[in-house]
Amino acid sequence: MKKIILTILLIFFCGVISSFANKETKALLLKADSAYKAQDFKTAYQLWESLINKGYITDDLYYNMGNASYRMGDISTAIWFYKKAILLSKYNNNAKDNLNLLVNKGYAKLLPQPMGFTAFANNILTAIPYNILFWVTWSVFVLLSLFIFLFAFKKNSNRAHLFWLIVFSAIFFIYFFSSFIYQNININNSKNAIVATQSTNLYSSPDSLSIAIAIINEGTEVKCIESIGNWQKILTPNQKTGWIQNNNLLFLKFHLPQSQ
Amino acid sequence: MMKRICFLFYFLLIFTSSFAQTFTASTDFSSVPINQSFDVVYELKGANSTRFVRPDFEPFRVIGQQSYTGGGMTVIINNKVINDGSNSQKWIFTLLPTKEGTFTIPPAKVLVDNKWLESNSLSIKVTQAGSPSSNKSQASKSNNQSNTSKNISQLDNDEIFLKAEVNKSNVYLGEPVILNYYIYTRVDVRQYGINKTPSFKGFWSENLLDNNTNAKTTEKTINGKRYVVANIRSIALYPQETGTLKVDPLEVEAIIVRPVARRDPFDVFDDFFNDPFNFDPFSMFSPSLITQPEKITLKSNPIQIHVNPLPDGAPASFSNAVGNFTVSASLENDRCFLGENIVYNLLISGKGNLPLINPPQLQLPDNFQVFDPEIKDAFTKSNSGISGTRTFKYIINPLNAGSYTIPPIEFSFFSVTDGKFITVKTLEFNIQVFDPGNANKNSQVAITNLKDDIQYITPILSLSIFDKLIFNKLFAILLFIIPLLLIILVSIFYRKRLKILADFTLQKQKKADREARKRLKYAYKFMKENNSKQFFEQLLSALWQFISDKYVIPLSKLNIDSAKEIMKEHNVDESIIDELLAFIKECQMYAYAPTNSSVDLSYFYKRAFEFIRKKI
Repeated sequence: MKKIILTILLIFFCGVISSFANKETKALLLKADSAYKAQDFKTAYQLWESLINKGYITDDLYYNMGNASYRMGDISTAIWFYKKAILLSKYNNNAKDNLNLLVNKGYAKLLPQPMGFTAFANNILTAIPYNILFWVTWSVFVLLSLFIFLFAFKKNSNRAHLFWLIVFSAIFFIYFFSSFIYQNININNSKNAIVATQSTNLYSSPDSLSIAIAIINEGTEVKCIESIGNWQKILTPNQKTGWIQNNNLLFLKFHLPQSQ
Repeated sequence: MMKRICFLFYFLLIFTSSFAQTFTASTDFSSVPINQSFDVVYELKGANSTRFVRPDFEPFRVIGQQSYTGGGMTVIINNKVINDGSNSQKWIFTLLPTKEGTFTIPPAKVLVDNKWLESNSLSIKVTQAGSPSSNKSQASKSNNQSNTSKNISQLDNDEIFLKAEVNKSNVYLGEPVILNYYIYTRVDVRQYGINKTPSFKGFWSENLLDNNTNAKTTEKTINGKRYVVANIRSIALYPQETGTLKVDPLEVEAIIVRPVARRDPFDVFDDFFNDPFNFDPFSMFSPSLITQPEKITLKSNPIQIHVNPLPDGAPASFSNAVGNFTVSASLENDRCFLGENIVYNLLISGKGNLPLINPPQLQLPDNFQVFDPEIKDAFTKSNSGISGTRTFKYIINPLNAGSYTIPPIEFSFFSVTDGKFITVKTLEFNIQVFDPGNANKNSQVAITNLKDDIQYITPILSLSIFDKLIFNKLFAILLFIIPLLLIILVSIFYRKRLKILADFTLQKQKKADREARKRLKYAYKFMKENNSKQFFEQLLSALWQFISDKYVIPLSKLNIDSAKEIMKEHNVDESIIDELLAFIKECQMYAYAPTNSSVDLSYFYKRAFEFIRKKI
C-alpha cells in the first residue's frame, strides 16, 4: 500500500520537476516578454501563440496575447483574448480591468452577466481555475479510491475516520468534477463569439439578400443560438436576434481567435 | 500833471543819454493799479560797475530781481522789449505796489571808477485797479517813429515762428524719436490751435503731452534776441519702416496781439468814437500802442529721420520690442478644476516701444487652449519717451486633468544702447488641473486620471505540465480509469490472497483436532505402559500442536507468552487461557522434573482431552 502512494507521489514529483526543467518554454517566454517590452508586439504575439499551440492554456498567456493584440490595434481580438482569459480564471484582474477599459471606451459591448441563482452557481463552479481544476479533480478521485479501498480491505483499522474521509472526498470529488465539466463546456464549447468586422449587417434570415435588421459593430459579444451552413443565428447584447456570417465572428470555443 | 511828469521824464532821458556814462532808472508805467507788478530798470551805459546799491523801494515790495550785462542786445522780458544799442549793464527789479497813492522811488547808486553815480528817481502812481498805463510808448513814439511803424506794418519771420526738433535723427527701427514743436515768439500769443497735424507716415506716434494743459514756456535767446518758447507738442515717434522718413510740417494757427498803430495822446476821442468797445478809460490819459488781434498761420520746418534696419540674427522670440525691458511672469492661480481657467500674467516693464510689443507666444502642452492675451498698459509719458509696463493676461483653459508645467516664456528685445538683441526668460510654473468628479482641489495627494491604458502583461516565468491542456480526451479518461483499475486489481489480488490464507487456516484448524487426537492416542498408550515421562511429552506436543494449528502460528514461535497473546487476539476467554496455560505448565513440570510415578495419568489425559474437545 505504501509503495503505491510512494509511486504516485514520485510520478507527481517527476512531473513537476520535468515541467520546471522545460528550458525551451522558459526561453520562449523570456523572448516574448522582451519582444513585448521592445514594442515588437507581433513577435511577442507569435511566440505566445506557439505556446498555446503546444497546449499551454493559461489565462496569463491569453491575457498577454490580448495586450499584444490591443497594441497592434486589433481591438476585437484583444476582447476575445481577455474574455478567454477571464473564462480560464476569473481571478485574472488585469484582464478584467482591460476589458472594463475597452467597455468604458466604447470599444467593447458585452452580453449581460447572468443574475440570481445562475450567477451564484456560476461563481461556485468557477471558483477553481480551469487549468488546475483537472488535476485537483484527478487527485481527489485518486484519494477517494484509496480511501474506499482501505475501507474495504483494512478491517482492523479505524473505520469511522475512514468513512468520513470517504464522504468528504466524495463530496469534493463531485464538486470538482461538476465544476470541471461546467468549465470545460464554458471554455471549449462556449456559444459566445466576438464580432470582428468593423460593422456588419444583422440579417433576418441566413442569406445576404434578406433584410438587414441591425448593424453590429466590432467588439460586440454575441451568443450563437444555432447555425445553418456558414451562418449563425446570434443574440446581441440588446436582445436582438438575427443571422450573421461565420467569418464575422471570433468564436470563444476555439483555443485561438478564429472564425471557423 | 501826469503828462508833464512824463514829458519831464522824457527830456530827462534825452539829457542823460548825452553823457558818456549814464545811469538811469526807468519804468514802463507811470501809473499802475494796486497788486499789479511792474519792472523798474536801472541801466548803466558806457561803463562797468562793480557795486550797485539798490534804493529803498518802500512801499513797493520787490518780487523779482535780475541783472544783465551785454552789448547791443534786445531783451524781451514778459513780452516787453528793451532795446539798447551800446554796451550796458542792467538791473531789473520787479515791484509790487502795496499802497495806493503817488510814490517816488529814490535813486540807486553804482560805483564806477571809484565814483558813485546816482540814477534819477522815479515817481509812480498807484491806482485802485485797472490797467497800467505805459509811459514807454511816449519815448518810442518820439524817438523811433520810423522803426516802430515798420515793425507794425509787417510781421518779421523771427518775431514768431514754429520750430520742430528731434532728439535724434539717426535711429534703429522701432527706436523712439522724440519730436518737439516749439513756438518761438516775441509777440503776445493769445491763442493757438493746431491746424494740420502731420500724418507721420512710417511712424507709430504717441503724444507725450496732454493737450489740455498749457504749454510750458521758457525763455531762450537766439542771435541776441530773446524769445518766449512754448513747447506745444511733444510726440514720440516709433519708426515702422526703414530708410529716410520725412515728417511733414505742422501747421499752427495762432492769434497774436501786436501793436498796429500808435495812439495819438491828443486824439483820445477819435479813438473813442472809432472803437467804442475798445475804450479804456485809463488809456485816455497816456499815449500807448493800439493793439489788435491778428490771425496768423505758422508752419514748422520739415524733418528727416534716417531709420536703420535692426541687425540680423534676431531671435525667434523677438517681437518688435526695442528698448530696455525686464519681464516677469506670475500665475493668479496654480490649480484649478476642469472647466476653470488659469490666469497667466506676463509683465513687461521698461522703456522703449512698449505700445508696439506683440504678445509673446505661450508654449503649452496639447491639453490646453490658450486665448489671445488681454493687454493692460500702464505707461508714463515723459519728454524722453514712454516707459512703464505692459501686461499680457493669458487665459489658459485646460482640457484634461493632470499636473503640467508651463515652460518659461522667452522675450527678446533689441537694446539700442548695447546695439544687440537681448533675450530674457520668465520662470517655469507648475500647475495642477483637477477633475471635479474625482478630486478635491485642495488635497495634495489627489490622484488625477490622465489617460486610460491597458495594464501591463503578466510576466509568465514558467509553464508547468499542469498548465497543459489535455487535448486527448481518452488520455483524460484513462487518467481516471488507471487508478481505478489499479485499485481494483490490487483489491482482487488482495482478496484472492486472503481467500487462500483463509483456506489454509481452516485446513490447519481441521487438522489440529485430528493431530491432537492422534497424539493423545500415543499418550494413552504410554499411560497404559505407565511411562509417565513419555506420556507428558506426548500430551504437551499434542497441546502445542493443537494451538499452533488452531491459531495458525508456527510451532517454533510458540511458547507460553506468545500462546497467550495469540489466543487473546482470537478472543478466547481469559479464564480458559489461564486454565490451559496453567495445565501446560503443570504438564511441563511433570515431563521435565525427576519423576515420581504416583501421578494419576488418567486425570491429565482426561483434562487434555477436554481442552482439545472444548476448543473445537
